[in-house]
Amino acid sequence: MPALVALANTTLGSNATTVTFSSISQAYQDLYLVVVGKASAGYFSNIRFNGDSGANYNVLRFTGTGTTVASGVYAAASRGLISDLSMNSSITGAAFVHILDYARTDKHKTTIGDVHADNGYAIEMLCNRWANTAAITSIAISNDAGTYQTGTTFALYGVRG
Amino acid sequence: MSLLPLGILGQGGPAGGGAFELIETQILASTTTAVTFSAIPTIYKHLQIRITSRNTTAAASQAITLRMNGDTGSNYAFFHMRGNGSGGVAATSSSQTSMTIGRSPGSTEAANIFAVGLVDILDYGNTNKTKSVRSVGARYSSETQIEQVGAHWNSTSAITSIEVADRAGSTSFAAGTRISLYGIGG
Repeated sequence: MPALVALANTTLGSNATTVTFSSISQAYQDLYLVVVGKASAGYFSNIRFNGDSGANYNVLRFTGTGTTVASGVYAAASRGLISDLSMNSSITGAAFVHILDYARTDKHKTTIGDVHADNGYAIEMLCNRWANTAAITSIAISNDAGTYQTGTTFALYGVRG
Repeated sequence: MSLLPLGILGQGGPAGGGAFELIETQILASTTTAVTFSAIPTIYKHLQIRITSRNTTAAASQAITLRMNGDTGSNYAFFHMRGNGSGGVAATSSSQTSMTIGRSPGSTEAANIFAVGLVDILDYGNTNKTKSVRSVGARYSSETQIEQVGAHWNSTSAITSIEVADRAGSTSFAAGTRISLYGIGG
């Protein structure tokens, strides 16, 4: 039996700031999110779980630009990040996010992912810890300063465990 | 990042024919030094282990280690590049008796914090190659780290069993630790 199951797939028919996956099935072990596309502007692609906009997200990044590497944190932030690379309307970027044990209620939710996106030709690994033991039932992805462009795709998969 | 994109392409395929399939999941009900996956099917091209882990040691973290086919000889090497929140570091270890593929937070970390990791074991059944492993993992705790690990088992034997241990079995995973093994067709 295939362990990877497509749960939802959104392709933007017009520019949008936010895409939300709601009523996520609790039948899987992990979730896997893939975003591919362009944005009009913006530095951050944010992620929030269950509509929580409190200071409950802790973000760790590790970035290589081709000439340097850097690592930093955003502690007690009001949103997680799936990318903190600048995006623009001419270069397609891609973000891959694994959300492990999303339905377990004995763990904070930790993600790991990477992104290659940007006019600076950078690559980045990102970790988010949502300091909440609630099962994840909805995920919102948003651009902080611009809009995702028409044709940008957001795919959510379930991983059986 | 991981081999999962291959799984996406093959998600509808038959067993071992391109699919990404669950072989076994273990969720620990009590502290345990190691989990061993035995009699691994040979029908896949690659393997993937997915982990959420924590350990019981009174320390910030402890190593997660792999051994193949019960080999405890000095036949493992590993190397990592790691971001720690303030900069990047890299290191290598050779002639080791196990391979370190990540780290779990210890009991001094806040409750409910677990590390996450994805481990790809490539061409595990190919007897013409020594075995390469790639892992990505992270945890946000007092000792925050995100890393990519490359590792090597210096054997051409097909992998038939994998031990996933907390510091090679000298310490223990905490209850709630989850370790899953998947096969990826090819």
